[in-house]
Parts: sequence; C-alpha cells; structure tokens
Amino acid sequence: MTDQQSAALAAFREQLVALLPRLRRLARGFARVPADADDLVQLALERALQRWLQWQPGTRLDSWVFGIMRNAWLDELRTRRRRGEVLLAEEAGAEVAAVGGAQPLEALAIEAALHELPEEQRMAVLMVLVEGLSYKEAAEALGVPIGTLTSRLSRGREALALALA
Amino acid sequence: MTPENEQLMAYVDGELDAAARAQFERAMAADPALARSVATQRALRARLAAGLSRQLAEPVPERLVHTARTAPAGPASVATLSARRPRAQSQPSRARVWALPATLAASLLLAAVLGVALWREPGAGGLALQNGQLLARGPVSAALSGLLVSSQPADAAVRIGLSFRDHAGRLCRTFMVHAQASAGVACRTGADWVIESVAAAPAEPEAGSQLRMAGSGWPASLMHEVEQRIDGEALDAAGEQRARARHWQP
Repeated sequence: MTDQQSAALAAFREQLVALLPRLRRLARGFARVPADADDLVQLALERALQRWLQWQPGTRLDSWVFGIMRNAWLDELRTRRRRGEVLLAEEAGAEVAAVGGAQPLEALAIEAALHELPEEQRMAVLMVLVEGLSYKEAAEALGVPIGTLTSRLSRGREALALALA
Repeated sequence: MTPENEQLMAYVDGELDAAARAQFERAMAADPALARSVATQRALRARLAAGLSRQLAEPVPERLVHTARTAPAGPASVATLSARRPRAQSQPSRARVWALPATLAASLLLAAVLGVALWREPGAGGLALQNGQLLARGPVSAALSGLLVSSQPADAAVRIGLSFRDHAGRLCRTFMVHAQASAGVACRTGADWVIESVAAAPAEPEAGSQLRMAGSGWPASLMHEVEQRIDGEALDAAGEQRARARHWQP
C-alpha cells in the first residue's frame, strides 16, 4: 500500500469511529435488542472496511455505511428465519425493559412504536426522520426507487402518529 | 398518498426547491388546517429525534472502536482491484440499461451481456426465445418464481431485489446473477417471465468474500428503469407472499 493509501485508510477509519454513535442508534432501530445491535454495528464496520475503496470520497459516508448495515441486517433476519429463531415480540420487549430501566418513558414509547412498524416502513422512517438523509440518499441506501421510499415513509409516519398520539 | 400529502411531507422533510417551497408557504398562510398538519408533522419529527437522541450520548463500547481502527481493510491485494478499475472505466457503455425491443438482435445482445455460460447449462437452459420475446428459464426462472426477498438465501446464485407492478398490471421483479455480473427486470406474462431489460452489475468479488453482500450493488440505471415501469410502489414482504401464492398472476 502506498503512503497516500495508508493515510486515506487511516482517515477513513477515523471517520467510521466518529460515526459510531449514529451507527449504534440506527442498529438499535433495526435490531432493538442492544447486544444484537452492537453485533450488527461490528459486522457493518467489518464489511465497510473490506470494501472501503468502493466508497467515493466527497459523497456521504453515513448513508453508504447505513446501506451496508441495512443489508447486513436483512442477511441476519434471513438466517434467523431459516433457523426458525424469530424472536417473539414479547421476548424482545422483555429484554428491552430489562436493559432499558434507566430510559425515560418517552424514549421507550418511541422505540416500541417504531418496532410495531413493518420492517420496510421502519427503515424508511429511521433513514429520513431520524438520520436526516434526503429521499435520494435514503432510497439508495435501501435499494428502492424514491417513490417507494416516500410511500413507505408516509405510511410509517401515519402509523407512528397514531401510536404516539 | 395524495399529491397534497406528498407535497406536505416533502415540505417538512426539506425536499422542495425554493420555488415550490415558497408556493407551499403561501398555501399554508391561506389555509390554517394545512398549517396545523405541517406543525403536527414537524412535531413528530422532532419527537422522534429527541426520543432517540439519548442513544447518541451513550458511551461507545471499546470493541467497536477497536474494530473500526484495526479490522482488516480490503481488498487483500490492492493491486488486483486497481488493475480492475481502469478496465471498468474504459467500458462506460456497460453501465447502460438495455431496454429490450423484442427482436432477435436484442436477444443476442442480451445473451452476450448476461454471459452465455449460464444459459448453456445442459438441460437447464437459462433463456428461451419465443414469439420474439426473451423468456427466463432454468435457474433464473426458478428464482423469479420461487424466491421471496425477505427469505432468499444470502448466497443464492440468482438474487431478487424487489417486486412491483408495472403500468400494464403485470408483476415484475428485479434479479441479479452474481456470477455473470448482470442484473435485470423480468415481468410475469402468462406462465412465463419475460426479461424486459438488463444492466451490468458490479463484478462479483472473490468467491466466498463477504463483499458480495455488502452494499446494495443494484445498478442505479436499473433502479431508474424500475422507476419508469413501476405503478405505485414496490411490494412489501406480505404483498410478495400473496403474489407468489397467486403464481405471480395479476
């Protein structure tokens, strides 16, 4: 590796470190159970580093890694379904309650409402409303056309507004 | 989603250009109900952000910082990748989507783009030409009919991206054949899958590499193609399941 590449890689790694709080938040939105979420972050970091040369400097790193994380999570869900390990909602809820004792009710209510949403809607809501990606960036990260993204976003919003009313 | 609703969301999400924003704000000034809807949507956004912001303040586990700073960065052989890049750049036309007129010339082109190997499998036959249309056969056809996006194996030879209804009411699906670095759109027509367009997908990384699954990898040109064809939005997991149960009939 040339000096220039080493320097670029070092900078890339530090950008990932700076992204960690947001990556963990997004992973919690996907996986809900905190330990699973951190495993998901770990996997996303490993995959991002493996293909770091494919990231275009000057474009957003966050949405690029979010897309990688989203795919890693879908892989995980598939694996679980194959093994028949789909977590029951109550089990997941119990675990969250156990570790989330210090969280204010408001945060718990929002998490619960988010996890009531179908996977597709939740991802759209997290990418745009929580992480602040543009429609275009979010659609790319999720691998869907923009019209599909906005439609999922709209339905997710309606459901959230009802659940949190 | 009504056009009004769509406009409202786009306004709240900062997606309108200056002119559309000004126009929307004039409408809002004249319509208290619209202004209330905007306030409601803004409040929901703020509430979500505030409710989840605590997670940003949590200390990050050391093992994650360690991973970011030390996990192996690919590719193992940098020379291989840089050797591959100029070649990809020198063939910009491969990034195009070939929308297929149902002609023999296009069919031959498609076979060339998709790579003939897949279609030569003895007995399987990945492609058939019938009445001037290209039909999926063999592994591609099986994947299109059988796989659900939500449950397909991560290492499937043919992967499905999304399913949608086109303007003619047909059910269509995007597919990717990793080994051939190709992706396309196929639409169910009667008992067949008609291949409507194909595009070059990013070349498959080394076998067994995790890279294969990282990133969505779907060519932007193909997404554009989908946007031209799609009526409404892509099917969700439940919609796909229902469509498969109906054998992808409209």
